[in-house]
Amino acid sequence: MSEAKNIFLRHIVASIAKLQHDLETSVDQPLCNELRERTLALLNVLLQSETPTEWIATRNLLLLFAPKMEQAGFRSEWIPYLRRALDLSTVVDDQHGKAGLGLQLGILYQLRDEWKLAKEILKSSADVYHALREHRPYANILNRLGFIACHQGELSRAQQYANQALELLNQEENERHFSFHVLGTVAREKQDWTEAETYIRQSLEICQRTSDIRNQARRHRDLGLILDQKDELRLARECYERAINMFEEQGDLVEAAVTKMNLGIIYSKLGNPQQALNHYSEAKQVFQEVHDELQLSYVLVNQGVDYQGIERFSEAKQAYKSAIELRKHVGSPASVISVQIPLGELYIQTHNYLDASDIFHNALLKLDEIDEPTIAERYRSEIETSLNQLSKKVDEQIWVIVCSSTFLGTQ
Amino acid sequence: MSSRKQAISSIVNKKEVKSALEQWGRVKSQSTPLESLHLFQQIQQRLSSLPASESQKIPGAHSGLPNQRRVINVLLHEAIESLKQIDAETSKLLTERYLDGLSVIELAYRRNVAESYLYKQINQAIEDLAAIILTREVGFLNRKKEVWLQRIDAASYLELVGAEKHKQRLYNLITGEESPWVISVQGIGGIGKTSLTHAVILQVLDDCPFDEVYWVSAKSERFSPIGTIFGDSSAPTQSRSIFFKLLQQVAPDKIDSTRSPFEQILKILQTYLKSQRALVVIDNLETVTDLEELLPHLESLVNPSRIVLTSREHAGFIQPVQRFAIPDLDKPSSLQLIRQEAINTNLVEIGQSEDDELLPIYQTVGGNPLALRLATGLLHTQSLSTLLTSFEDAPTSQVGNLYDFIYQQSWQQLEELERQVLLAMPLTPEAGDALSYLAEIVSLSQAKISSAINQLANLNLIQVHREKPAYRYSIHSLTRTFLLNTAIGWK
Repeated sequence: MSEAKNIFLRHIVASIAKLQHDLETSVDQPLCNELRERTLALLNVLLQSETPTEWIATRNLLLLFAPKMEQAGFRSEWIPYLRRALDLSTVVDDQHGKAGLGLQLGILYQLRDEWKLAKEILKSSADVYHALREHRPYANILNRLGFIACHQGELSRAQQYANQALELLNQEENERHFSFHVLGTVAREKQDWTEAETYIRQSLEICQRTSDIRNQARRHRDLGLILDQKDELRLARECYERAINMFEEQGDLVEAAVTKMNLGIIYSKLGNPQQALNHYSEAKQVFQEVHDELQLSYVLVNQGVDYQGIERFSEAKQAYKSAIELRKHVGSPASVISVQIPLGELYIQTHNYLDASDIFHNALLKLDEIDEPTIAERYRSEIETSLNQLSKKVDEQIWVIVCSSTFLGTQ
Repeated sequence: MSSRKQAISSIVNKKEVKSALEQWGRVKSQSTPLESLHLFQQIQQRLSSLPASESQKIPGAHSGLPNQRRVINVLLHEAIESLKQIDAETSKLLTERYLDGLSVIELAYRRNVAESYLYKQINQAIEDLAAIILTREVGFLNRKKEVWLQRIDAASYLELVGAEKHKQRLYNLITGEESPWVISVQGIGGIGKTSLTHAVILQVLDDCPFDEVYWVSAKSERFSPIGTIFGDSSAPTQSRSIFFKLLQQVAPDKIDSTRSPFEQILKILQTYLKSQRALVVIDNLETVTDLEELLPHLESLVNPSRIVLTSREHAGFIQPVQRFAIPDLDKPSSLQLIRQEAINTNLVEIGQSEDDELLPIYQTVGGNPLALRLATGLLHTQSLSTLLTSFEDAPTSQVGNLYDFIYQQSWQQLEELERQVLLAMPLTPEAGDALSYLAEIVSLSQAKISSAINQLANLNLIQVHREKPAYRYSIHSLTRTFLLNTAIGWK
C-alpha cells in the first residue's frame, strides 16, 4: 500500500473518531449543518470504495448518524447512503451491520409509508437479531412490524407483534412505549377510542418516566388524533400545541411540522380555514427544506381542501395536482387515487366536466394496481358516486352533450 | 424595459418628484416619473402579488387608476409617511397640496402666510421628499445586494490577471439591451470560467442594471451513484433540479417540490423572468448529464432576463446560446500572472524576472491560468532551471495529461506535513472547511498545520476563501480527482 494511502486511512480513522465524538456529545441537540456536511463528505468517500475500508468504524458512524438524519428530516437524501452501506455489510458479512443498518433503513421506509419495502427489510433485520439473540433490537423491530401491519389493515397481526415485543422487554425498558403505541393505534383503527386512549396514555407514562421527550411529544400528538376523532376539537388542539412546543424545544422541526399540519386540520374543522392554511404553510416550508416529499404531499392535499372550501379554486387545483405528482413517485397507487377523487370533485364544482371525467376514469384504471381488495373496493365505490354526480351535472347542461356521450361511452 | 444605467440621483431629483406629485390621481399622464427606480419595481411586484381587493386597500393604490400610476402613488405615499416621522408639518403640507389637491391660495390662507412664502415651503418640501425617496432607494438596493451576494459563493481568487478584456466583453454582453439572451462561458478545466463570471457578476451588482440576480450551481453536493446500486430511478433529473433550485430563489413560495409538474415549474419561472430584468447564472453545467432536457427551455425564460452558463463542454448547444469562449491567456498576460503569483506568495526573485527567463514556463504550460499557477507554485520548492528541466518531459498534447504531470511534480515536491494536510482535503465538504477541522483530521495542532496550509496555498493546491469569522479551505475539483485517483488510488 502506498504511503499516501496509509496517511489517507489514518485521516479517515481520525475523521470518523472526530465526527463520532461530535455526534455523541450532541445527542440531545438537533443535527447542525456543519456536522451533517462533514459526515456526508466523509461517507461520500468511504462508501464509494468498492472494498470497504475501516468498515466497523464506518458502520458505527452510520448507525450513530442515522437517527440524527432521520430526526433532521433528511430522509430521501439519506436512504441511498444506508442502502449502499447495507450492501457493503453483506459484502463483508457483518451481521451486526446488516441488522442495524436494516433497522435504520426500515424505519426510514416506514416513515415514508413505503410499507412493503419497510416490512421486507425489517424482517430480514429481525432474523439476524433473532439469530444473534439480541432481544431489545429484535423487540424494536417487532414493534415496527406491528405498526406496519396496522397500517396495512392487519390488526390482529399488529397486536401479535406488539404483545410479542412486550414479552421480550423488561418492565423498565423505554421501548415498551412503542408496543403500547402500536396497541393504541390498533384500537384507534377499530374506533375503540377509550381503549386507544388508555394505551396511548400508558405509552406516554413510560416516555415520561424515561424522560423520552420526543416520544412524549408523539404521544400527545396521538392523543390529539383520538380527540379529533371523538370530535373534541379544542382538547385535540391543546394536545397538538403541547406536542409542537415539545418538538420545537427538541429542535425537531419535521415532527413539529407534521403536528402543525394536524393542528391546521383542527382549525379547518373549527371553521377557521385561514388559520389552517397558515399552519399548512409553515409545515410546507419545513418539508420543502428537507425534501420530505411524502409529508409535502399530505400538506398539499390539506391545502387543497381548505382552498377549495374558501373557493380559491385555482390554488386548490394546483395543490391537488402537485400532490398527485408527488404521490406518483413516493406514494402507493391508493394514495394517488385518494387525491384524484377530490381533484375530480373540484373539477365538477368548477364546471370543468371534461377534466373531471378524465381524472375519474384515470383513477378507475389505477384501481387495478392496489394490492388490498378492501381498499380498492372502497375507492371504486367513491369514484362511482362521483361519476354519478358528474353524470347528473352533465345532463343538466345542454352544451356538454358531446362530453356527456364520451363519458357515457366509457361507462 | 428601461435601462437602469442612469445614476440614481439623476432619477430622484426634485423635478421628477414634483412631476410625480402633480400627477397624483390623474388617470392619464404623459410621462411615468420614477419608473426607473428599483423601488418602483418592488412596489409593482408587491401590488401584483395581492388579490385586487387587498391591493386596493393600500393607500394610493385605489382602483380606477392605471397600474403604473397606482405604483407611483404608493411610492409617494410611503415616502410622505416616512417624512412625517421626521417633519410632520412638511409632510402635511405635501399631502394637502398634492394628495388632497388644495390650491396654493387655500393653503396660504389656512397657514396665514403669503403665497410666495408657501411656494418656497413647497419647493423645500419636495426637495426633502426627493431626499427621502433617494435614501429609500439606496437602502433598498443595498438590502438587495446583500441578498444577491448571499446567492453567490465567496471568491477563491485574489485578482484576475489578463482577464480585463474578457471581463469587459462579457460584461457588455451580459448587460446589453439586445440578444444574445443566453450566453455560455466555455473553456477547459482551470481556465477560470467561474472566476471570470464571478468577477463580472460582482461588477453587475455594483452597477445594478438588473432587477434581480440569481446564481445556481449545477454541481451535485451529494453522492454520485455507483452503477445501479444507488440509482434512484424516481429521483428528479439534474435539469429539473436546476430549475427547481432556481425557482427556490426566484419565487420560493410558489412551488412545492422538484416533483411538481415540470410545466408548472417552467410556467412560474417564465412568469417571473419575463416580467423583470433578471440575470441568472447556472455554474458548472458540465456536471449535468441530461442537458438535452434543460437547453430547449432556456429560450422561453429569457428576454428581458438573461441567462449565463459556465461549462467545460460546448457540444450540443443550440442556436440561441451565444458561446463565449475563454481562450488561454496570451504571452504577456501569462507572464504577468506568473509574476503576480510569485509576488503574492513572496517569490520576490521570480516576480522580478525578465520575460526571457519566464517564457519557457509559458511555452511549456501554455496560457491555462490554473496550470500556470500550479507551475509557479512549484518554484517555491525548486529553482527555475530545475523546473524547466523537469518540464522538458511534460506531455503537452492534452491538457488532462499536462495537469497530471504538473500535479505529480507538485506532489513530489511536498514535505511530509504538507502531504498529510493535502490528503485530508478530500474528506472535507466540497465547499471547504475550517483550519480547526483540518487539524483534527490530521491529528496535529492548528499552529503546526497552518504553515503547511500556507505553503499549499502558495503552491495553489489549496484555495483560500477569506470569509468571516474563519477562513475556509477547499481544493479545486481537478486537485480532488488527482488526489483520490492518482495519489491515493482510492477506487
